[in-house]
Amino acid sequence: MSPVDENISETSVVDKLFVSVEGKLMRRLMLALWLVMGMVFLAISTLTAIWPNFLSNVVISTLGAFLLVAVGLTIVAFKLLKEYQPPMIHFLLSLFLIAFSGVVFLFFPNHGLEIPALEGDVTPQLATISLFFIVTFATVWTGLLFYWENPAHNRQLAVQYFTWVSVAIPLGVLTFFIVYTIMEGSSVITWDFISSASDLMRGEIGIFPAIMGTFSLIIGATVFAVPLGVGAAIFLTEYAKRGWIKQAVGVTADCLWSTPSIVFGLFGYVFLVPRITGHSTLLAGQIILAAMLLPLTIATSTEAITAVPDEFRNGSLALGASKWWTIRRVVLPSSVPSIVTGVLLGVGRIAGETAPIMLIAVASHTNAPNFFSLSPPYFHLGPLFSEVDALPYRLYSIYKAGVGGSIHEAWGTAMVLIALVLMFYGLGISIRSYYRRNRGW
Amino acid sequence: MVPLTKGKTNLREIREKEKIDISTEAAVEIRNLDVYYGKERAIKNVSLDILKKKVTSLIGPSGCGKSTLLRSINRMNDLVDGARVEGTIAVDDRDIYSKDVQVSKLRQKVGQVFQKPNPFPKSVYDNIAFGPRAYRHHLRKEKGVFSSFKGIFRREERSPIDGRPMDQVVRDSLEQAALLDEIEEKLHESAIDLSGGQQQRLCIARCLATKPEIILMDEPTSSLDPISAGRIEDLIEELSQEYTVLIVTHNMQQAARISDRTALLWLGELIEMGKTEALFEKPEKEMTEKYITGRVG
Ligand SMILES: Nc1ncnc2c1ncn2[C@@H]1O[C@H](COP(=O)(O)OP(=O)(O)O)[C@@H](O)[C@H]1O
Ligand SMILES: [Mg+2]
Repeated sequence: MSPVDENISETSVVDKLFVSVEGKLMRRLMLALWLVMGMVFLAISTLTAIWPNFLSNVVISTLGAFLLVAVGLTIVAFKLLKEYQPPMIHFLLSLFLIAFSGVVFLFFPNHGLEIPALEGDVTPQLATISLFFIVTFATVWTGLLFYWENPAHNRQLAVQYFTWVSVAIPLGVLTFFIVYTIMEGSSVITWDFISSASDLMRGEIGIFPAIMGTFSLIIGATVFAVPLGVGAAIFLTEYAKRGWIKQAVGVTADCLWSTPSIVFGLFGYVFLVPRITGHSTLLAGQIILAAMLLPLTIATSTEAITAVPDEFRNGSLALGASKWWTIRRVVLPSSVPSIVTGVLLGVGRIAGETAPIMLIAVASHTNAPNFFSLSPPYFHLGPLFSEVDALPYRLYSIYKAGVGGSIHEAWGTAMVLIALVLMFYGLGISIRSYYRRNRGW
Repeated sequence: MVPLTKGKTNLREIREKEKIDISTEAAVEIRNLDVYYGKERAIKNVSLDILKKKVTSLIGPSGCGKSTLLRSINRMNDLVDGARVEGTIAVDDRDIYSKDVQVSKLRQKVGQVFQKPNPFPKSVYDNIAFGPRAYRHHLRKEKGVFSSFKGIFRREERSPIDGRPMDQVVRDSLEQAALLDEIEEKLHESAIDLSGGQQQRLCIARCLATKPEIILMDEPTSSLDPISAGRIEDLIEELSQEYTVLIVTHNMQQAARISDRTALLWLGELIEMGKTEALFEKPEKEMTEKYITGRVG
């Protein structure tokens, strides 16, 4: 008996099923399916070539056919070779599939920004949907085929394949977002664009007020949310003995975190705005964003504090330190990096929120909030009680209402916003990795 | 053994009044101690004295309650959910479980070194200054926030325990723990980067900085290599000139090497306690003989 056979005899019921007769049948059916689909696509593209209205974009169908033939051939080749395949091939294959779906998407019939009703020319929509299904299908089946061909041998391969796919998809999407935004937006990025306000009389566009507005919003939100959140986490982990309190707060935090952000905005609009000034204010925005940030702060702080080993607490208490001193001098310093990371990730998220602040805090073409002045009293709280502009809102108003700039300025704004958010993420991640290396436990 | 009166703070006064012979030798007196974890009785009616400026070792098989007994002397058992202590433990003639005892002061006086070295992720200096600084925090709580205001303007930080400059406290503690020569240059570097043996000696130094009278050690060498362990053993012998040391070990050779007196615990009960040589050479109880010759345990 060959080693492979031995392995098979030890495999699970599922494995047995697929290497059995039925399994072989399944694989043949699969291949047949591939061939049929390939032919259908070929037929579609041929038909399109002859009769252009059959499908509005020839490129897609041709590429689709190529894809299917390529994947089919790869699989047949693997089947014929029956050798160990280096995992790189899987990666390339998955990259190819993903890149292909991206290309198809870009070349797809573009209806402009109007949302077309599903009447008249239905084919493009159907084709889009079916294409995504086919690509997903192809990706998954390729992986499964690797496995079924020889479960004992290729289990690793299948796992690697899926790992690569799941790494490649988000990476590809992210790269695409960033590259595309830079391509579209970099042309308008100038020092003036970033550092000055719009001057409508002269037709100059600047997003300085929006940048400052976004900063004021997130700084305020952090100032409100962090002490509360960290305090709650300390109480939960170090003091609350009874499990149900912890659970109740945990569940509440989770619910808050998954509450749609527009609902936060609505509550702010109904309960907060009338009690502050009656119109949109920076303060209302800060409070509502703080409420959104709070659950994440509680969750990450709780996790960070729980991760501090009890040995530190015992060491401190055994030296005669009180509980509060132990928390302040041992527990918190050890968990600060994780807390900061969590908060920064949360800040990255709320920085881009439009829905909650739309109703309660922002307006286009406001001035940058100015808390400081060169003459007494040097510091003003006034801006807290007036409207601000914010990057995501600026973006929204350009796209939706054509207010505050052209589409290029919108991409420029998006670029600044993405840079800001990535900056927070980058900061969070580097703080975390720095302290991970240095904390020694 | 001298009987103790439970719940009364100053046992010495009571004993003087009742004209009971006062034992001055014992740093810790334990009488009829029972410790429960929930329903489980981990220590069963143990009575023993731990003599001043001597090394006492606690031996016995795993799970016999050595750590439990040790932890009840500095009330670290208070932190365990469901732990309950009955009986009396007196340190300096005071019943440490009576209501008016301040646990933090007790723990400053009765230091503990743990099985696994647990330096804080701070600098060596801050690790050693930790105890005195925590003590200052207590003083502040007792005397009000403003009590330490004049300290702010003083240039050098002083230990509130003995009033010496903190720099000196740190150096002396390290010196006493035989660590100063090795890490003199690294006082302000992270304690986490030290070797395991150095970390454990740092923990001993950290404990010495609070000027304890008694040092409890729970298997302090079991996570170290033989050479580091040997250095700790030497250190313990040094320390016994000035301090009372209670060490838990399951290494009988170690107990024989370093301790003056040895106690054998078995399933929560005290089997035998006496001079180390006597206990190892001619044990009184059959059980002890069986254990030290390795026939049970
Ligand atoms: N935190 C705890 N909670 C419940 N039971 C405990 C706890 N610590 C120890 N015990 C129990 O008490 C007994 C003695 O344990 P311990 O003092 O750790 O023994 P040793 O240090 O001699 O190995 C054991 O049976 C153990 O299961
Ligand atoms: Mg133990």
